[in-house]
Amino acid sequence: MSTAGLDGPRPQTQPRLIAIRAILTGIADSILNLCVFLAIALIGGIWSSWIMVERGSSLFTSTSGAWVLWTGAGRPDADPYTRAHFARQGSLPLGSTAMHVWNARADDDGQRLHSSCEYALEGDGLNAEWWSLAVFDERGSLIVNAAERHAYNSRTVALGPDGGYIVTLARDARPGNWLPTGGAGRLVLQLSRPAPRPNARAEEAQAALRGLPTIRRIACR
Amino acid sequence: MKTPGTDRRRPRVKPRTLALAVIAGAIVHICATLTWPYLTTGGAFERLSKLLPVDQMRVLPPTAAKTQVMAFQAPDLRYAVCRFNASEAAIVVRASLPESGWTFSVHGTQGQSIYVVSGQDQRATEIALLLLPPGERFVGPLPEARLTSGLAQVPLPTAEGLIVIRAPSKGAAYHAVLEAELAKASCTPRRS
Repeated sequence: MSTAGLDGPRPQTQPRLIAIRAILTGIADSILNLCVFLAIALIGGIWSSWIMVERGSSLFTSTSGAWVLWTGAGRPDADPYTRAHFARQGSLPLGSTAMHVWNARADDDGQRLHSSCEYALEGDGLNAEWWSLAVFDERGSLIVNAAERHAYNSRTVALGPDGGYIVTLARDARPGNWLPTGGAGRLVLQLSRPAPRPNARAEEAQAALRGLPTIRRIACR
Repeated sequence: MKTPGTDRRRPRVKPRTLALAVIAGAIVHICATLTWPYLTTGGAFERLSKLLPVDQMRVLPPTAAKTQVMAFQAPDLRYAVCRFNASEAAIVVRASLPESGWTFSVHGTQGQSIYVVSGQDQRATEIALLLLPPGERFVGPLPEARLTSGLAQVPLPTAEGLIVIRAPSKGAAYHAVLEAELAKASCTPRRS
């Protein structure tokens, strides 16, 4: 019995299938390459820019514990990340030669500051003539509270017998230096103090970078 | 041995695509970073422009949740702000910083500092500036050379901006004293 009739089309169909498969593979290749290209170029480019602008990097920030200082803040020759950071923030940064403004968005364990938790900020009085410690919500707005208390400074904070201080961040009233956090959600702490004088000795300038309060989480609801 | 027709190749990413994507990603990164300041709304200049008259120094009320006009506005500082427009005439600014902790700053429309002065210990810092519109710059060996009128010249990159004087608050009892000191500052167009 001849099988010529059944086997006949194969040699003609197979090259066609191969050609179609090659075309489909080529299209799939192109789509995959396009997707990878767009993902890396657009998403990667924008995401990495966003991260650098929001969080900063060691290239243009100084850190001390959870505190971050944008060293180029407010300077005319500031790097593009610093400019974008403060433009997005909507604030008017002072030059870092005039005032050091430290921000903390996390506690000393790296956990995001949140109004559902209670925190203790412990400092040694800060070796500066004037300083201010304020709490904001994530967008930089002061938190509405009945006590209308938003900050402590070197003249209003109650010092302990050892010359240090403890400021408590909590939703409900606490004894001592209490900063209400209400239901603000994510919190941002801001510590402002005059920058070291330009002619300050190196150790004085280094000391100014240290001595920031520790941020310890006490409890969360 | 592979037969050409039976080779089912999976789609794969070409190394060249990866390399190009990384280069394009870097370009997008740079463009995005440079563009953020222009895409954001609700900046300090925008907010204060709606509240303040042009070329007049105003002392802002003590900062509280209801009176806050800028993001991250320190509640323990008192502010005097002048929204200037130097497109028609240069701006004459006079202010005094009685002690350390006080600061004087000139900001552009995007919030960047153009000029900053800090108060000093045990002596008042007197400020007398002439803010020059863009393109109007005096020729001289120093860009901020003092004129005979006693005004230091500051060339502006943009015609509009803000002048901000910050005074550290010592408590409610000192508010009146601080306000009186801040109210002495002035910002007026130069009349020729």
